[in-house]
Amino acid sequence: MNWSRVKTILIMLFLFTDIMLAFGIIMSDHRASVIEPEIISNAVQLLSERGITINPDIIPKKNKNADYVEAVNVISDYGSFAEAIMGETPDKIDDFSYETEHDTIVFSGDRFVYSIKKAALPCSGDESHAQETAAEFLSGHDFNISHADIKCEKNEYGFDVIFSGMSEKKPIFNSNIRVSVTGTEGSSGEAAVVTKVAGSWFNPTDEKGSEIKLKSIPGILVELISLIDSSEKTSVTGLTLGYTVFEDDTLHRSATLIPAWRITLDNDREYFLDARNTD
Amino acid sequence: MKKRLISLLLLLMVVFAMPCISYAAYETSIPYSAQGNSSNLIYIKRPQSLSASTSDKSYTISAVGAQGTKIKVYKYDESTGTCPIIKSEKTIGASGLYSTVVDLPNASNTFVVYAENGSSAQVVKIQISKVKRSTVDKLKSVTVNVLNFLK
Amino acid sequence: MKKERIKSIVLILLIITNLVLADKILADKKLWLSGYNFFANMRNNSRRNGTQIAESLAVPEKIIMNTGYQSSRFIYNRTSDNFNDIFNSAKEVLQTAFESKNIFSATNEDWYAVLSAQSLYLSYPCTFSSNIYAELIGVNSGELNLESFSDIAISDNGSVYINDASGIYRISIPSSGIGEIIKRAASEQTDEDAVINYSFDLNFDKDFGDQKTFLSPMILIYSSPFQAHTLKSENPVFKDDEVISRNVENILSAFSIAPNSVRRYTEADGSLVFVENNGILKISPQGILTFTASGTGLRFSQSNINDTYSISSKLAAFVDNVNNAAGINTDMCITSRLSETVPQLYTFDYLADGLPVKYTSGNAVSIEISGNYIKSYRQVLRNYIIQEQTAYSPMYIETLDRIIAKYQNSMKEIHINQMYPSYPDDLTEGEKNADWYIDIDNVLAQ
Repeated sequence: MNWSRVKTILIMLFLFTDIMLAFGIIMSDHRASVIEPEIISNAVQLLSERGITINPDIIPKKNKNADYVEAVNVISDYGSFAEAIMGETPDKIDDFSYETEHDTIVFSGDRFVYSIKKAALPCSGDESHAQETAAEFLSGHDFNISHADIKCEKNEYGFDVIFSGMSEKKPIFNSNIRVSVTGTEGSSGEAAVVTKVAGSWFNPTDEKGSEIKLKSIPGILVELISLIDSSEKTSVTGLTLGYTVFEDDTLHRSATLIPAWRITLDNDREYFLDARNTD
Repeated sequence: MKKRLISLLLLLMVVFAMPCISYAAYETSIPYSAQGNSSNLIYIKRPQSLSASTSDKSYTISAVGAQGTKIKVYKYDESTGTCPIIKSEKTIGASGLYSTVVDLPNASNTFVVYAENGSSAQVVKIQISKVKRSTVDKLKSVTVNVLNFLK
Repeated sequence: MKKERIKSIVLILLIITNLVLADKILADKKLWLSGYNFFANMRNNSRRNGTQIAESLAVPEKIIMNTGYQSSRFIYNRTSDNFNDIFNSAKEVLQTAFESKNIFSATNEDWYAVLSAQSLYLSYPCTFSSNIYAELIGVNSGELNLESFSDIAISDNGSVYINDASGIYRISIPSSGIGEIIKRAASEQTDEDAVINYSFDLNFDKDFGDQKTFLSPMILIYSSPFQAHTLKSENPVFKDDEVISRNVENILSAFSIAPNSVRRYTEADGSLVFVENNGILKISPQGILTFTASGTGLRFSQSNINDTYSISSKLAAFVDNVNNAAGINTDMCITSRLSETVPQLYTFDYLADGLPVKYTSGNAVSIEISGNYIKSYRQVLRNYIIQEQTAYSPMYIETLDRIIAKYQNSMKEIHINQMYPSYPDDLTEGEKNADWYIDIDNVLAQ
């Protein structure tokens, strides 16, 4: 037995199989991520046959990946959240509403609406002041807005500052808070204050969730067909991948955020589709 | 002579009066002739007829009575003529039930059950005889009558 | 020589790389046939020790050996030595009996007489119809047509007695050979056991003598406290406020909930909630699992079945699966009524060290079905660890008096249906000691 020769042969053999395996793995990985243009155009055609128009440019060309995100609701229970945001122990009106002399708060599932009782008055503060006031208020109450996307809109008496939570550059659809900063009795002119806060908010934790395989985009588009009434002529204006909590009609102290596609139509309707591949 | 007669008479009076007076007594034994002043404090469920035969080495006496009734059990000792206590005092609870297991050392065993509640007292005597095992074994295979036999 | 060494090292590295790449392919779902992963299936087939419920549906909760003497009456539960031998011998006799055609009516007195002589009394925690019981012990049901029984007595004179809801029946068989088994087992008994009487022995079931409390005739009355091991009750999902995720994931699989498509939440009280198209599964911090199906429900049988025997066997296997998944090692038995008309509700209870675990309300497991689908499933998830330490129960009369005292003022008569040793569990964690379980049938008011 010439061991030397045997070893040489075995080395060639294993080298060959290693290269084939590695090649196979890389190819299938690649094949899985890129979407062929033909498939996309087929999907677009299928949609237009059913009265749904979509601009091919908004469709992503590569399949995306996402991880699960573990998140904690700012509301752990209604009573303690109400007390924290109001700054004093409120009176409980029923299981979903609390009030004090100055303000009220109402809950519905994961959402809440907080407002002060005094009437809103016009103020002369500017956008950046409104944004600062709103941000200060939220961060002071355990809302993690460090990665939030912030927009400002003018309202009747001042500004609405809209915060949208983000995780890994993808929006968290259930982390959406609208803060109204306006003038009110006792604080007029430039000194605008927070007069209303509405929405729901989940703070992502550092826990690394496991990676999930997502449905292909053409697959998502085809699912749209079953959701939209084909008699109406609609057009898709937005396709965004983000995270959501589906059953927000009950309170969840914490939740595993699910990757989902938000599909916006021209009539401002929004649909959320579970992006996970359940095969 | 007269003095002796009188003291004997007094002694006899005391001896016979004892059972009628000291209801809270009989801590360690009870006279065989003791009698109570009530007959419905407790009701002996087993043995229903107050006597039974068995070949077993022990027998379970069961009774019912009002809550709060205190029960003590004594065994008649032929050699001394006394009835020393064999089961210390137990009070009947809310269920009204009482049961106790007594050993059967002799061929003929007599037990005295003493119940008291307030100023009422009741004495019941129960007789359990032992039969040889082999005799009963033969009878045990007859299904219908065995039960009645053991009661 | 150096060249050879290098070659050897290179070869070893290539082999290792080969194994790594091959493993990536085998373990990666993307590159494997969808849904099938041989290695994953192997991992899921870990067996646990202990009796599986599905295999022990015909095993009684206890066997009482009557020798004819109250001083030698012995109670065997599933963990006693000799229980299996005694049951197997009894099963052979019952197999002959259930196929027999020699069936006669019998009276209560006959039944009591049998229990007072040499006999074996098998006591079940559920009720059977004769057809179902026959199937469970592996024979065809002969001429028997009984609806609902949970007590069977085998006498040593060649008869089997069944105490059915419709009456007592005697089946005559060639010879039961029970006498030998009883002699042998009795001689092996080393304990100076307490004297045990039946309530009918002591006449506690009969109304004479101004009795207020009636004990059902078959209740076993112990003359002294019984001794039992202390149990430690453990929550297999929440331990020291931490979730044992491995058990949770396994439980989800047992309910066919795909980890990829389930939505996970934690409620305000700390309950874990899993929402899926099939239904909602919730596990509370106290370890109460509830599954509520949405739509048709969760299918528990691959093929269509519509007889009680098959359905109860499949459901028992389902519960075994859930117990395996949650890492529960404690024995369980079925405790609901197995009637010919397929029941829609099935219950199971834990047997810890042979004694039933009793909760203040409800059973350990209750399942509601519709056809071949589970509509709802509720289970108290617990592992009962048997400790070395033992404790004595109170005297039966103490517990009985304590319970009756509650009805004291309003009752004229009280009927006790059942009284036996058990482990009461109020769902708090920690140590549990045995005590008497007392089931009150009814109370007659003043």
